[in-house]
Amino acid sequence: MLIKKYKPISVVWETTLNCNMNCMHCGSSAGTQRTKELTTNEGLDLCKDLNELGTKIISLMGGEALLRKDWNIFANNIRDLGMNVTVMSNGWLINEKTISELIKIEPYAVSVSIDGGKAKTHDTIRGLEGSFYRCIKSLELLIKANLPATVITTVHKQNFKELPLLRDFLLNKGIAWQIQMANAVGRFPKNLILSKEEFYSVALFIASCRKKYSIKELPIMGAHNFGYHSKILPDIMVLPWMGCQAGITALGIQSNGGIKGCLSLPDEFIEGNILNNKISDIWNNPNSFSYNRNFKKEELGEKCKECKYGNRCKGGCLTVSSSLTGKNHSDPYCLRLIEKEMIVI
Amino acid sequence: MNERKERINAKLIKLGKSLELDSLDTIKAKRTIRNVITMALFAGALILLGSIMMPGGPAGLYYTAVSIKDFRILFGGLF
Repeated sequence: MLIKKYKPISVVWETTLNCNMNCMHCGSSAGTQRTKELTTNEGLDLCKDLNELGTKIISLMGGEALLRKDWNIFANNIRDLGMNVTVMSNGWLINEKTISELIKIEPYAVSVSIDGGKAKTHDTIRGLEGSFYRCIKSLELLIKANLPATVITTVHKQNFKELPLLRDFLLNKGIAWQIQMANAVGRFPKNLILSKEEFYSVALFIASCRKKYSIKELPIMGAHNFGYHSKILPDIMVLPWMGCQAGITALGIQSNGGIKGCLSLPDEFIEGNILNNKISDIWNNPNSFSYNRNFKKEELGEKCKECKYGNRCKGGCLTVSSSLTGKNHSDPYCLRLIEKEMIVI
Repeated sequence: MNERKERINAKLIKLGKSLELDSLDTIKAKRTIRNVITMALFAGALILLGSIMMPGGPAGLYYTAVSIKDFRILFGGLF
């Protein structure tokens, strides 16, 4: 009999919690590094173990990933092991020297966060004056070096109306654009979360951009908290939503070795620590990631239970669901649900 | 039926205005039969791969920052 094993094919690794910015929406409340962050050797062992588990892509994230002096050692090692590496940055430290390192690494993507169409908005959200122009400069350097650049925009009440400005800036630049919703985790104030109507407007904006512009002109997509199964809009994610992948094909690693199915989940979801157990033992433990691996339709929230896609969807994004409702599998920011409540009267 | 469609369109136009979408762009953004079929095919492929490879199939590959390379792989014909 064929036994199908779970594989953490996509890993997001918070290499440090140290950060040179102070973003109001930061889900991990980054700023200073955690006590006992992984050493270089522990990090290299981790990469080797992940490769043996079947990982295909590792995203280096922070805090600010580039603040670690050994970030390039990790990135080179990941590539040498045959995996893809993505570097996620706030853009402040991307300069000529970083670019020459990145060229050697051949990353799958280098993402820069831009959270406003105006410098003032971005700088206020990021808590660092001048950061908008540093981001723009970083993107110019990445494009000049022919590196695969991505802009990630985290939307909330203070910036979503500037999406048209950002769109105009990104048009015809060959930069991938990912839009995601800020969640009520970390230090983000709950009162700044998009309303359901605003959320739907952003989804409509993404759908409209995808219809109006070719993929070459504007490669735009909504992140995995922009779904699900709309009756009116086309799919705005890269692929159709197949349910939360935390602990199924996705894995998050904290800088101190803590393991979660997805890095955006709150700390109650930590399954173990690689400083105490091998990552393969944590990943292959039949009790790990039970919320997704042993999911049953009966666990869906009341509104999701009625949905014909419930079994596959698992109630949307687990982080949004747990942070807003206190329950798993009942993400209220669901396009289909919003349409039922507000549009298809 | 038409009344329902008009009501939906009116609501969408109102929602689109907050992000400077004109009514034509808003209405054009609605899904088409082609969208539905394309995504159904993608979903079918993911379910199939998930059942023969591993739980979830390749869905997790697109679970981090998207890359321009993803667009080239998935929508290569459009480049």
